[in-house]
Order: sequence, then C-alpha cells, then structure tokens
Amino acid sequence: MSNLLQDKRIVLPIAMVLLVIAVIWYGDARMAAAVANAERIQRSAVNEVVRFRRSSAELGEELTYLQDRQGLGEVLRSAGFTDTQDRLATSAAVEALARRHRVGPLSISFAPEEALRDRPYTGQVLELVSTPVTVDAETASPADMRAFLAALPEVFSGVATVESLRWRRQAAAIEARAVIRWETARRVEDGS
Amino acid sequence: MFAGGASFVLVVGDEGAVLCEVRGRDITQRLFAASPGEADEIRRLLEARPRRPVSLLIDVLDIVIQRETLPALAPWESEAVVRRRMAKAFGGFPFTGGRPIGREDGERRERIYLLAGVAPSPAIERWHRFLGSLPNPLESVTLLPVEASASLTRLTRSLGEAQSAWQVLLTRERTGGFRQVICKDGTIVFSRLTRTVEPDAGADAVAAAIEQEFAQTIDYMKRLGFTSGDGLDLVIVAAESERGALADLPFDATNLLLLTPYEAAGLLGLGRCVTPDDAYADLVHALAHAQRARPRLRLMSEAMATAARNERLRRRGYMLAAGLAVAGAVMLIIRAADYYGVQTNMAETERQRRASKAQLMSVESALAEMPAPRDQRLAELRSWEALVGQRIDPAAIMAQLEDTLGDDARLESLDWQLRFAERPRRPARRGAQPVQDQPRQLTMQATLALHGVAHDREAAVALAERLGGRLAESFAGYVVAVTRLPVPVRPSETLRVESGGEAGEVPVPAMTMMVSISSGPGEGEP
Repeated sequence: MSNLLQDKRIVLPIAMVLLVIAVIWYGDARMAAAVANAERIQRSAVNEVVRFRRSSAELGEELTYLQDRQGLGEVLRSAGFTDTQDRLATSAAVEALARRHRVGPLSISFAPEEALRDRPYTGQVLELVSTPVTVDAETASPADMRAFLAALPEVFSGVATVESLRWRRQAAAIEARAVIRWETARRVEDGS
Repeated sequence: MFAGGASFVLVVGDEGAVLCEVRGRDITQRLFAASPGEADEIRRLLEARPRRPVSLLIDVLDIVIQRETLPALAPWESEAVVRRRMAKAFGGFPFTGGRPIGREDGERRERIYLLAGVAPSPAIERWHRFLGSLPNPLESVTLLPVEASASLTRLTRSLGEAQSAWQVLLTRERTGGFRQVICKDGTIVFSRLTRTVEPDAGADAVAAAIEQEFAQTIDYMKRLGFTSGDGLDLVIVAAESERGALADLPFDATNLLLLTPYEAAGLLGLGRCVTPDDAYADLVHALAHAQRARPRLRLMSEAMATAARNERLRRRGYMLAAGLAVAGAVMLIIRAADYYGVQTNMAETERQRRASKAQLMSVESALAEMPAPRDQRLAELRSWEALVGQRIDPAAIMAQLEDTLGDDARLESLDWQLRFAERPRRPARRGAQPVQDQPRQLTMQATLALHGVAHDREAAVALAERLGGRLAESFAGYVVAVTRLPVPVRPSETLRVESGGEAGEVPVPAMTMMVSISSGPGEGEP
C-alpha cells in the first residue's frame, strides 16, 4: 500500500473515480430534484383539473336547475312561500272557507312554530318555519266536508300538507279533524 | 514485439553481454562487452536512443526452473498463491516469474505452473545496475532457455509427424557456453548451461564436448522418466566447421537436426542477424525473442512487480472510472427520460387545465347572470319542490275511494296518517336521497258499511271480498288489505252465531268491513 501511495500516477485514476462519482451524484441529485419538482407541478395541475371539472359539474347542474325553473320563482312568491306566517289572516281565510262550504262548528289551533335547519337544502342560507295546525270541522254533508278539506291547504301561504285526518260519519253529521303541517321558508340572517 | 522502431535486446551471460539493436526483422547493430565496466560503446548507443526500450534476455548459470502444481483457484486467488510459492522457492532472487502451462489430468484439474528465477550473482547485479543507470525503459526481463523452448518447437516442425515428445535444443552462446533446453510436449522441463570450450578449440574437441554434455543430459532426463523408447529429437546449432565432426557421433536420439545459426535463423523466419560462418547463436535467440509477440515467461524484480501491480491498479482505476461514467450516464439518461415523460404529460395536463378552467369560468359567468342571491334561491326552489312533491290530497283519495265503492258500500270513517319514514339515526351517506325528498308514507284505515246484503252473511263476505279486489285494482301501487270482514269467518278469528228463538228476534249487527290502504307495508297488512 505504501508503495502504491508513493506512486503519484495513482492519483489521477483515483481523482477520476472521485470526479465521476461526484458528477454522477450531483447530476443525479439535480435530475431527481427536477423530476420530483415536475411531478409535483403535474400533480398540482391534475388536482386543479379535477377541482375545476367538479366545480364545473356542480355549478353547471345548478345553472341548469335554475334555468329550468325560471318561472317557478314567481310561483313561490305568489304562494307566499317566503312570507312570514300570518296566523290571523290564515285563520280568517279558513273561517271564510268554512262558511263557503257550510262547515260549522269549526275550531282552528296553531301550535308553536318550529324553525328547522336540519332539513336538506336548509341550514346555511335558509330555514323552514313549520307550524302544526289542527282544524276540527263538522258538516252535514260528506260532499261539503270533502270540498272543504280539498280547499283547506290552499288557504295557507307556503306549503300546507295534511299530515293526519280523522273522518267520522255520525248520525246526522260528518266530523273531521285534520292536522296540517304549514311550512314556509325564512332566510337565515348572518349570526342568527 | 518491437514493431514500429528500433529497440534493444541485451543478452546477458556469465561471460559477458551482447547488445542487439533490432530494427524491423533485422539486427542492425551488435555490441559485445565482457562486463559493464567495458560496456562504454553499449552505453553510448543506448544513451543515443534514450526512449528506446531494452529487453533483458538472461542466459546465466544460476537460472532455476521448476514446475509446480497448484490447486485450481479463482484468478484473484491464484496470483497471490503463485507469489507466495515463488517467494518460498526463490527468496532473495533478483528476478522471478511464473505462468500457468497446463492442467493435471483427473477430476481436480490442478494447474501446472512454470516458475523460474535468477539467483543473485554479481554479474546480474552489475548488469542490472548498468541498465538502471541508463534512461532507456526496461521493457522485459526474460530467460533465454525458456524463450528458446519456443524456437525449439518451431525448428522441429519440419519433422512433421515424426516429432518426439522429448526434444533437446543445444546451442553455443558467446555470452555463456553450451545451452541445452530440454522440453517435453513443447514445454520446457529443465535446462543446462555448461562452460564453453576454448575459443580456438578444434571441431573435434567441440563435438566431443557436445557429445559429453548431451550424454549427461540424457542421464538427467532418465531421472525425470525418460526412457530410450520414448523417442527424442535433438537439434544442435553449431558452426558449419563442426557439422562433420558432429555428424559422425552416435547421439542417442530418434531425430537429429544439425543446423548452423544461419540455418536456424532461416528456419525461424528471422531477418539478418548472423552470417553463414557464425558459430554462436546469441543473436538468433535475441532476434527470435525480439520478434515474438509475447515472451513465454516474463520475470520481474521486486520493484518491477510493485510497479506492475501499481500499473494494474491504475488501469483498474481507469476502468472503474469508465464503468462508473457509463453507469452514471445510463442513470442520468433514465432520469432524463423520466423528466421528458413528465414534461410531455405536463403539456397535456396544462391543456386540460386551461380547458377546464375556461369551462368553469363560462359556467360561473352564466350563473352570475342569474338573479341573486343564488344560494338562497336554490334552497327555496329545492325546498319548495321537495315539500310540494310530498303532498297527498286526502280529498282526492277519499273521492277515489268512494268512486270505487260505488253503491255497494259507504265510507263510515277514515283515519289518515301521512308521515316520513323513520329517519336514519346516522347522517345519510353522500349522494343518498335526502329525507325530505323521500316519499312520505301514507297509511289509511277506512270503515265501510256494506249495502244490499241485508243480513245475508255469505253475501256480505262475498261483497267484501269483491270490494277488496276492486280497491286493490283502483289503488294500484298501494298496499290494500281487508283488515276485517263483515263476518269474522277467517280461521284465526272467533265467529259467534246467534239465532232467534221463540222469545223473539236477536239483533243482527250492521254489516261493515275495514280496509287498510298504505303506500308501503302498512299496519293492516294481513
């Protein structure tokens, strides 16, 4: 070994080996970094493409939905879906309806309203105002009662759904008790 | 060996040395010196051509040649083993060398090595020092008898199939004396150098000396297994004047070749080196050696061996560097290919990104033209549609029911329930239908009074069953079940029949039935 080290000509191949290793190491590190960087940029671009496409699909669906229902907004407004529930006006309308259909006696009971935000499409911007309304009515003829019940949901603003109905034919009268779910929409105010 | 320019072969013997300048196929100059102290002409010639290498061809008495059998080893192991064997056999020798010459028969196939060394002697040391003082590089150190064994093979080629396994070459050298090279199967077995006769000795004296030396050689050969029946080729290179005397002698050889140095050079295909009158073969050996591509056995001093090892290491270093460079280049090419592939994909991805972004912007701008606020509007519309979609008009259902009954029955009572299916306890998985969008479940229980059957139980039951069928047909998509017949005739029910006696009539209950209609499996399902 000492003889080998005394021979200065061995320095050149050793230096060449070291130089080649250094060049390979440096070049490989640079190339690996460049490849990794390019792959990172590509991954980011691919993720962006996916995000853009997903957003496009979601927004496109909303756009189509809104375009298909451009006339429905007016229906909602005229039906009072977004109006405040007016119990006095509604009870007056029910009474008027009862008179028209010869209903009597009549009893209307409004339960406390509930604000529902856990329903689909509610929460962030909208809540449903839901009020159970119990209507007890009596008529002499079944036809009057049927006509009254058929017209009853229409006197409510928003959407009224007959959730339960108890209908009895007595000796001289028809008795009915309907529980109606009266639902309108209300905008959620910030911080409320 | 020396193609491309003049080089030198220095044949060194115990009686002096001859320097031959070799140019092409010829010896152009030859200089003899009895000792380095008298070698001024040689020194001047070599100094005049300082870059020309010198090949040292040794022909002294103290040459040791032996065959060694070594176990079959890997190449990297065999070198060290041979070095150890030579160190043991030739410890302190200034020049040693070894090379494999064959394998033993048998399964183990052990390798046979030819080992040779030059014992230390003042003459060799002086000539070595002499060469070391000159600028000319020492190209190789070889042994004349070993190199001459190659010439012997070539000289006996003219014998053709008559060649024998044992062959002896006998030449006369000015630098040493009579050199005998004994070969078996083309490989040197041993060699002998005997002192020359007086320069002015007659042909008969020379022939007698040759005959005597050859006889002794035969004795040595017999110790090594030679028998007279084996056959022997004897090649004697001597002066033309000695040919007659030699031809008259009864050599114990199968084939005898008597050649002059001049004839031997011709048979060996050499150029100009000796004249037809020359008696010495030094120059023939020198030129044959010079024109051989590789020496048969290269000897080295300790310093030369170290330098050779260093040179090998240097070459391996260069090869390692070259190998690493190639491997590194391949690695970098692969990396570059990866990079190119990513960049190519990147261009396509970028195009897709631009396209999808443009599409998104287009949708966003279309949405921006819609009345605001969009989120609230969407929520209102969707809630409205969901609520309206769940409504069922009880009046319409009642009208349909009564239409189906016609005059056969009358609705006496109705219990109606419209409710959501039981809400899941866990949040609905993504994409599942929202609870509010799920159809509400209608459950309806109606009591019907039957007409036209009076107190006929069988007719009442038959009518009830007919009505049940009609209702099921009318309310297709609903589950319709007759939950109670006008008379409890089902096997699971209790039927009690009372008849009128003399005491008077027994009141008969009204003929009514109960029907369940539901939009799913209902309570009244039988």
